[in-house]
Amino acid sequence: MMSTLSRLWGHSTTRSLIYQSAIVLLVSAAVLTLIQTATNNLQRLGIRTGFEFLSDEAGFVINQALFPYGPTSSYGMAILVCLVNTLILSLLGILTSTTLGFFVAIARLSRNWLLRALASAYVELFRNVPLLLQLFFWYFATLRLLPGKRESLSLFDLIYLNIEGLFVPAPVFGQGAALIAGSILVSTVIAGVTLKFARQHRESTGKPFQHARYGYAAAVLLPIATLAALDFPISWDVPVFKRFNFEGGFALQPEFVAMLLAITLYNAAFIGEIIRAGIMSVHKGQREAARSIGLTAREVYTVVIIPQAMRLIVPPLTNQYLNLTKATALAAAIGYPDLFWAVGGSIQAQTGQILELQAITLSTYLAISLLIALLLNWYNRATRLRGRS
Amino acid sequence: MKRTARYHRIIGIAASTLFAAVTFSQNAVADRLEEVQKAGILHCAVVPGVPGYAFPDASGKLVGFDIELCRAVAAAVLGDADKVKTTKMNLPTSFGALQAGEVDIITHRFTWTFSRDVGTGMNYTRVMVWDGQGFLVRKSLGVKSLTELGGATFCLASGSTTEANAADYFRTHNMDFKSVTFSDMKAAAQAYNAGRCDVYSTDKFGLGARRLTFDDPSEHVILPEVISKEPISPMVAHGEDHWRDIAFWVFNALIAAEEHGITQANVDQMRSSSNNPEIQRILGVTGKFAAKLKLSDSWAYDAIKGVGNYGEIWDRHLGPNTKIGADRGLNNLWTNGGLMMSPPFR
Repeated sequence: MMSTLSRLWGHSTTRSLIYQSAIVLLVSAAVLTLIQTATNNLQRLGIRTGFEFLSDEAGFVINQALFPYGPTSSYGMAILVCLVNTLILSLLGILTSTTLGFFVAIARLSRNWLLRALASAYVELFRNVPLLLQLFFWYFATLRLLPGKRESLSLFDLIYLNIEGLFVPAPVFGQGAALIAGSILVSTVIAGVTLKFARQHRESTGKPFQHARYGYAAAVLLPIATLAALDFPISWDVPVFKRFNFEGGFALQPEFVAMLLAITLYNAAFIGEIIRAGIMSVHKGQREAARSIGLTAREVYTVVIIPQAMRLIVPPLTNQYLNLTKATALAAAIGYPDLFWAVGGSIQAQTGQILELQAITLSTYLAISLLIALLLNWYNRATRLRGRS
Repeated sequence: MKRTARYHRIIGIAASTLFAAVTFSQNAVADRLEEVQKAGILHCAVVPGVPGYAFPDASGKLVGFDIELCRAVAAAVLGDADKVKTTKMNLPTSFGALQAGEVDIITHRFTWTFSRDVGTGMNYTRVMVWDGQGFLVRKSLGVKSLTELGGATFCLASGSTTEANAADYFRTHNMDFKSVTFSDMKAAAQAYNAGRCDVYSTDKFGLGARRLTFDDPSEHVILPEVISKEPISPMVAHGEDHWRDIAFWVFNALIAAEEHGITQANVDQMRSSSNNPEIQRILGVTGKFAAKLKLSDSWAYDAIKGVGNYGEIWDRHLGPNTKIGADRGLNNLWTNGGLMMSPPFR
């Protein structure tokens, strides 16, 4: 008997089965205990649960709402408006920090000593100071630099800049706006098809496609013709100074600008290093070979080095994008209405539905992060070297 | 060998999850008073950064009205006003900490509202300050009244009732309302000071103190309007009825003490020589009130001895001789035309 048991134990499959069931049991017991405790506590404290509060009136104002929102809108709507603000900030932040990061990487690799030193100083300064401090710095620095409301800077009496933001005229589309949008779409397609056909033509015959210009001309003229035919149904909502500030038009708020500036400068320092590492990982023989077959300096980069470097750049870049997106949650500190601003601030304090709101916040950030990871992983798979895993 | 190491690691993770589950399950406190007395210390949640209520003094120690309320309860329950641990929190986290039992009481100045009281796992104790929302603007704007502020931009702190009150007010008066809302009161004030907004708004008693932190305090003026009722009350967890009774009656004792002229200085003499029956009951000379609260006979004596009566606390932190310079107004005793009245000690 004893020997049977020890033989069973000595069998690695059996042993691992025992280990695994023990772990599954332990973890489920722990999870069940947590759920049980939470339920008991909620009951003991008489806490209202559920998500019905999302349809209650929010009561507060959001100073950057891209679709109609007012204090009578619901909490759910407020969350949606602020989620869009988070997405805009993340997306723009990713674009600007990647662009800046690319130039930083090039500068760090430059043969020019001054450029190299400046880029290195930038990287060390910005990646070593906590983001929240940078955020406060840019916000209050921006505020101190901008002119007061009565001293607004003006450009042709159309665009104004003061401490409350940048005010630009906003287009107001009258009758036939859909037709204009349609014509722009059609001309984009025309331009795309022409471009593709011209390239195919050149690649197969070695000669440029003579008639491409007609295609491009059509693409440009179509929307203009449509506008003319509709008698230019676009008017402009120009900002006008009222009692306290400019009203009308589109306003770019200093909170948004400071947020974008801070996350761009902070993340570009990291992204610059990621890109530099990627470029340096490409063997110098590749560069020499590229030069020796007569590629220009630019082509060496765009055709040979960057495509190979991308394989090393993309995985850490994915991490950086995820960090950037999550860091936008700091926005509440300087009054930019992002998702966490709404959920962690007013909604939580007004409703006290902490568990539900945490669940909403966590799952939303998780969903955004997973989406970014998914897109970049997909890109990574599409561009990896064939034959290597 | 490598494989075994991995199993050990996984088992470690599982065990710590279980440990966490067991630890968290101990939140349900059978009796808060017993817990506090066993720990020998009272855990209060405060939100620092409000001058007069909870603000660091020159030595960095938090002082103010909210801190005194915490000290009064500690004195009554533990016999020593210094046996407090104030946990600095922000508005939402303090609610969570109270619900989870990490703190015994919130003495921050939270407004008593329906939706915070009902169904949120928290109970209010009693109104300790009657405040209202006020407004601060630059003199150069030339504004004399709130009704002229349609279209102005407001700097506010989130998580307070300030935001919704102002939005409601402007909606009912058909005025355009814009706000920039910060997670922190200090950032909101700084942004106003930098010129981002036309108006800074918070509860009236906070405005005067905040003005002193601005570049040029004389440049700013407080408007006459008060647009809201802000009954400020400490909070305890829902379902801890006995604990709520204790907090409620400690606060009442401070108010009754002022009514009877019992002060920090004369409380000993009052206990030994007063022949007023209510004073005798409050100070535990006669009656069995202390036993009913399961506290020692000197509970109210200790509280008054520790922090003084309501008026003394007020004068020390909010009154005319402080930077806040608040007029007592509604916070006067009922005998002076205010709303402060303790139910009878009978």
